Amino acid sequence: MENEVKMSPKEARAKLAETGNRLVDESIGSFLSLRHVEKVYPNGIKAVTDFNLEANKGEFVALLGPSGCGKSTTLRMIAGLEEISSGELYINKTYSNYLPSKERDIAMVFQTYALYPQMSVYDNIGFGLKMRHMKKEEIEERVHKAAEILDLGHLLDRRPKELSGGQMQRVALGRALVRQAGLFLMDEPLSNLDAKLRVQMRSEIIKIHKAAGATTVYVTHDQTEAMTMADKVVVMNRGYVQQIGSPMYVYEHPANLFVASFIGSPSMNILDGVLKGERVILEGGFSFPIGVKRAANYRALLESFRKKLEDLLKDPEGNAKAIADLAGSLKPSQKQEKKAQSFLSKFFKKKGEEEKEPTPYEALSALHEEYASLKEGELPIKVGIRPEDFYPEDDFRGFKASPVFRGSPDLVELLGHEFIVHLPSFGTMIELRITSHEVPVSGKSLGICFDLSKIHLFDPYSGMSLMDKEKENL
Amino acid sequence: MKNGLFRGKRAAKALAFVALLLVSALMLLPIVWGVFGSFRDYNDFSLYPGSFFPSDFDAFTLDGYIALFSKTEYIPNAANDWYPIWNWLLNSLIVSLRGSLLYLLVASLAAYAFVFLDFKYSDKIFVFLIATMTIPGVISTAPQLLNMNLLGFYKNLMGLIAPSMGGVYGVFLIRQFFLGIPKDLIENARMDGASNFKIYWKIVLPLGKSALFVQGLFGFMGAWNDVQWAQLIVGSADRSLWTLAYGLKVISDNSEAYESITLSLASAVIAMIPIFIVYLVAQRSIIEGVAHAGVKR
Repeated sequence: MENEVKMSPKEARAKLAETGNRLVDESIGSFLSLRHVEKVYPNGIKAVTDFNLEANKGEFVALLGPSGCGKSTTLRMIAGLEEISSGELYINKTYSNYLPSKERDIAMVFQTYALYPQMSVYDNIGFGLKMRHMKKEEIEERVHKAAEILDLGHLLDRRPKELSGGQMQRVALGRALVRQAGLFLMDEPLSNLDAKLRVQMRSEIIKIHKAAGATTVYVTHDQTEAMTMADKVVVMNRGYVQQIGSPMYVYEHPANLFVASFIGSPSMNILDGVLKGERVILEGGFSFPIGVKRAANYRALLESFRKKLEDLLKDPEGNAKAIADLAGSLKPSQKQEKKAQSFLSKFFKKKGEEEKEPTPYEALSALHEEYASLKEGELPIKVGIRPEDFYPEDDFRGFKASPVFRGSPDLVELLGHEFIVHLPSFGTMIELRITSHEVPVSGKSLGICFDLSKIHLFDPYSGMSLMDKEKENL
Repeated sequence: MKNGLFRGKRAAKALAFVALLLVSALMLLPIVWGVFGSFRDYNDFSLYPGSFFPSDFDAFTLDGYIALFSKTEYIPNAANDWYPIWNWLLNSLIVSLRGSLLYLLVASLAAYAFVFLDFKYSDKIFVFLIATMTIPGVISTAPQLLNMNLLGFYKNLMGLIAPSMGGVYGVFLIRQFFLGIPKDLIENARMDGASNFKIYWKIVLPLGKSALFVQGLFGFMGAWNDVQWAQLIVGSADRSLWTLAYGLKVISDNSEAYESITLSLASAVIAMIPIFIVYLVAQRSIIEGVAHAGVKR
């Protein structure tokens, strides 16, 4: 903690007694605050790196990311089920790193529901209250109230095994609800339900969240859930926070390639290109202007990043942590790495020949060299365009149309009100979402343009977006 | 219905049935023979060529049981007139019940600690415990006897109860069962504010009922049938301290005469009855199992 105050042990004890043996920091404005929280398992695996989050009372925060990205670990650290390796956790201004779960004023809903099989629904919901030595009448009142909200009244005498998946889910929610806790934690609560129930429970959870007035941290790998339910989305990958923002902001301004391709369905089209002057040239020679300002901005950003790298690498020992963090956050996702290695080559590899993971320093040096080897005036770039930002040439409804390119669709999927068109172009397959009165036909040439004001530009080496800061310049 | 697959399935079922029947018969026949034999006149045994069941109604007798409960001369150097077989029965019950309950308590608490508590070197300690299972009991008999002596449990029923508390086998099996209990349940209970003991008592034990019953039954049977250790601890001097198994062993040792075969069998049946009752009681819980339906996987 930064705000150091000198006092004698006696004073300290008196002060602690005042707050019920809790460390309370009144200067913390948000309800839930995680500061530089990290999780390192005893076997050395780092599950979460430098996690920072501030959530206000009543906010619905979704932790979103692919499986294994550390979102559940983060939730479990907030819950007190997992030790925090370093960093600080404040719940309601109280330093909670070492508080036992039961004293954190939290209620959690597990993915598996975790209902006690030997107890009735009533006892399941009331168990937490009973453990807190609440009066019988009060337990009864609270359980019945929760049952009413969740429409469980007729099921109170049943055992969990006599319930359907949706009912079990509601019991699990009820159990959290009766606790009237300040913080709700939910660990992929809907992933065991079928699609229809999931949609239904989504609104149910929001209802409960609003009724309880609690802060909710909700872990999910389903971007639809995160986008529809959350006030704030935290996108994570490999233990690193990639971006924090409102669903809309994250969708419109992805901070890097990972967020860009993870959020949105179908996902954003990422095209390889080269920036020459103020024009981006895509594979196949198709080019479009991005504006002089933007191009200059891109170059400036890249230069400042390169400079930062250089500074970091100058003192590898002094900056060890910064280097490790940066290298870690830039590493391509493990899935991609695995894909790159063919199954057979892995199989026939001799012992000792296994590729060693580069150290953070090596990784960053390689990146730095990559930048140094760039040709003057010609910068590789990645262009991201969302499927819905493409339009048929005669039906452009965006702000600023790009030049038209032609292609014949490989596949047209009809979704009712719109089409998903798979179009081979620029050396890859792009997906366009088109709402048109004219039905695109696969094999028939199509004139397409996209909205220049909606494109995203990324640095192909670091994956950084170059859009956020230049937004106001546009 | 006449397709080959179905017929093949039926044939396999029938085969399995026959095999099971055969094995059950092999297990059961000696018991049936023994039970009938205990009611059988010894003269009936001596008939040639002999029969599985008593040859006629007259051959039925209660002599074996009467002798067991009345004649003290079957016990070497019998001096008193009272029938210590009731004492033995009580001793056996005390030792077996207390022993198995303590065994369950200790084993399940240890298993709980190994499964649900994080403590340093827990896996190493567990491996060490498992390793002790490979040491034959005979080797530890003498040191164990010394231990009991030091504790003042020599010539004392406590000497029979105390060692059963350290049953590693039970810890191992109960731990395996506890491992099957979803951690979410425990974590949820912990967040609900339950202490470790509450979790053990309210969540884990009810879920582990069947495993505990089986272990309890094993513990009970082990203590009930144990002869050697009982002999070592209570010694032969004070008959009132003997357990049923030891007493009956002495009886059958002293009844090697052909005439007393009925008596031996009667004593075996007496020794069997309580175990049988325990089995009947526990059977339901063993077969019932525990539904893990509260957790969706």
